[in-house]
Amino acid sequence: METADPGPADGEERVVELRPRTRSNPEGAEDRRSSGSGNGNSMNSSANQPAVGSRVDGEGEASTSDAPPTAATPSSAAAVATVTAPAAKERPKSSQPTPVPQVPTAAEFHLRAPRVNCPEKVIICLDLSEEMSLQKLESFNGSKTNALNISQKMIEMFVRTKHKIDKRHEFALVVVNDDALWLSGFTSDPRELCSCLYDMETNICEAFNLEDLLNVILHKIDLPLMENVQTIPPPFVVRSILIYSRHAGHLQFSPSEAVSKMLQSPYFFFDVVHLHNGAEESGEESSWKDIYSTFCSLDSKGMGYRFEVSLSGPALELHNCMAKLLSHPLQRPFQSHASYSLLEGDDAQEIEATV
Amino acid sequence: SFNPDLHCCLHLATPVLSRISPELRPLLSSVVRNGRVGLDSTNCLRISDLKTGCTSLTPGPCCDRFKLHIPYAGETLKWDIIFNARDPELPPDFIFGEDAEFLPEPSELPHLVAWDAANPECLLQLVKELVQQYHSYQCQRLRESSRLLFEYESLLQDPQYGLSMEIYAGRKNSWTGEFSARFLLKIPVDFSNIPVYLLKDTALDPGEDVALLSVSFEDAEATQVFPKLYLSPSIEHALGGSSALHIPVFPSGGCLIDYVPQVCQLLTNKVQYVIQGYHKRREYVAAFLSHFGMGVVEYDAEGFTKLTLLLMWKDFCFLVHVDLPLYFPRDQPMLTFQSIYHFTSSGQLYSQVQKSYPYSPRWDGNEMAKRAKAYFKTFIPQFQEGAFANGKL
Repeated sequence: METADPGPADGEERVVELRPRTRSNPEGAEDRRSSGSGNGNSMNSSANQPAVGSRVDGEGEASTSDAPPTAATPSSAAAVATVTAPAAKERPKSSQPTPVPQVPTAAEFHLRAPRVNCPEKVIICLDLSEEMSLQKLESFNGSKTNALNISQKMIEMFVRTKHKIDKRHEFALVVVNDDALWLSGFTSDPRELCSCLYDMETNICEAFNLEDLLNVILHKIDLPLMENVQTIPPPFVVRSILIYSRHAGHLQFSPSEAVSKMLQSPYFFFDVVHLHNGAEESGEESSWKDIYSTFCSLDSKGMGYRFEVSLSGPALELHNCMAKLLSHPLQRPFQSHASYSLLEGDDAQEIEATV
Repeated sequence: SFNPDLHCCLHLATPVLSRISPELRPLLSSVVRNGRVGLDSTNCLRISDLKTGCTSLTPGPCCDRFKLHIPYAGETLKWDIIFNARDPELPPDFIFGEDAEFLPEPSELPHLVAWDAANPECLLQLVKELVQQYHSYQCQRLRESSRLLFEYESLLQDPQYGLSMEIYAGRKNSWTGEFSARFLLKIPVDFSNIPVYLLKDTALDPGEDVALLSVSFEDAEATQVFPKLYLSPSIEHALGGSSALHIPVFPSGGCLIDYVPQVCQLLTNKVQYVIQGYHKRREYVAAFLSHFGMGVVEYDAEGFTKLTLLLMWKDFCFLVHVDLPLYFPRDQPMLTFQSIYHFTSSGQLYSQVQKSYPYSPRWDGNEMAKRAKAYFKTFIPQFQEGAFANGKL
């Protein structure tokens, strides 16, 4: 499955294809590239409009699409990291945080699916190494608890909430010891998944076999193949959420071609919650930051969410990460743009949105 | 009455057609597969009672006569159509059910005058012409009641309705001997701007989106009048289901020329509300994404009927689920606040519904978002307190 559009070569301007008015694609719902007015449709797409939501132009969930023509060409993608010249009615984007470091080069274009809330197939991968049982997390009442305990609760919250939002979402549970084991799913019934969630044991594990996990996932899913990635919503997307905690070893990873293809699919997402001991280890042992950056490098599309949480910090942090992971991968902002605060600096951060 | 199951008709047709004499099959095929003769486009023409005029020694299939069921003015006409398998070039004979007095003038039936058995559409066209004649015949029969004739003639004057009517001045009520009639009218409402997503859920072939008003006069003086509204299934669904069929009672002493425009206006208003509701919901969602967009969890990107936000207050995360009704903004969106951390004692997600918070349908989306934010700020602290007091971690 191709992720790159076999159209104009990189460096040339791309013409935005007008969205077909199919019954499943009503006007204005997905086209982020049309004008910022509420009844946007594709009629004002001009040849100057960028074809792809490039990661670097600060495009967040609520940004308008009045990207200036100069920012349109793929070849200048790398240069638009600080685009601040939007149409007059927009708020200046200079107050935005700079994007995540892994900016794709002009050659690494990834087409983005429309922002439709299609059903998700969520694969929750739980690391069962012994670090999950360390009683170091601080719970609400001040007592100590462990990551496995909190993970179980937050996973239950996650699946029940997703189900409440949309009954079409499906879930699966994978546990990882030395190998990955597919425990349950796909099911749309949260209770079915939750029934496998408890009664788990952790043990001392060897280095995490990421390749094995991704292969297990690969063989259980069938990613959609859409004719036009940008305009036609997929029937579903697949999302893996990995809750990872072991310290042991280096995260060696050389993906097969099939796994790479899966990772590059516009309909596959890989989110990580990395629980660590916070220590900067010297010597032969790689620190948690090395492992974390391996996870980052998996995310060639720049669309994954990653959290690092200290195992000896407040459990609240862990809950909050899972809450942030509730967001639909096609509708959520880039992680760097996400912001949830109710009280702080409201008006300054208002940005016009198109739906 | 309406038969919603178009697919059933086509499915049944196939074995029937195989029994028909091969030369006649194309003519019947057009009738059954494409035949929509009258106002009621959701009902198809049906064939039954296949027989043959050939001797029993003739090898089959050789059926050449059948009953054709034609929806008309809320009734079903059952006409016998009789071909001759041994002479398939000839046009058929017709027996018009119990309407012994219906004697169409053959010279006024173009497709009979120029019958062409090689044209597969010929029978269908002839049937249409006959139905038109039948309609004229029925209108003539209205003369039995000056009151009903007046109803008919006044509607005829109005080009909006006069051209799309089916009249059935039917058999007298067998108990009372009362003369009765039914008018079936097409209501000219523009459905073309109904948001497409509202129409796509029905599993049926959409066909034409149509609204029909059937008015039954059970007596010649029009003292017992029973109107009924029919909507094609996807329209009914789009307008909110069976409640969309509610129409005012026919006023006593009233007449169609006043009543029908009322119904038309009512329906037009409903359509407007639904269209407006869609656009208003979309505006609302856009405004909320603008104010809270960086914390969006999910929203209905098709019909804009729901939106979930993740908000944080003093390090504590909350969800707000917003449900937008069909007749928004007249109807207020429902807010459900949910804790990230708590469950109820029965293991459900800890949440609280708010249906009547400060709200005005006159606010635009932006104003609604601002007011909602203000409301959240006042409500969240007590919600949080309640969660910690009553919820299970």
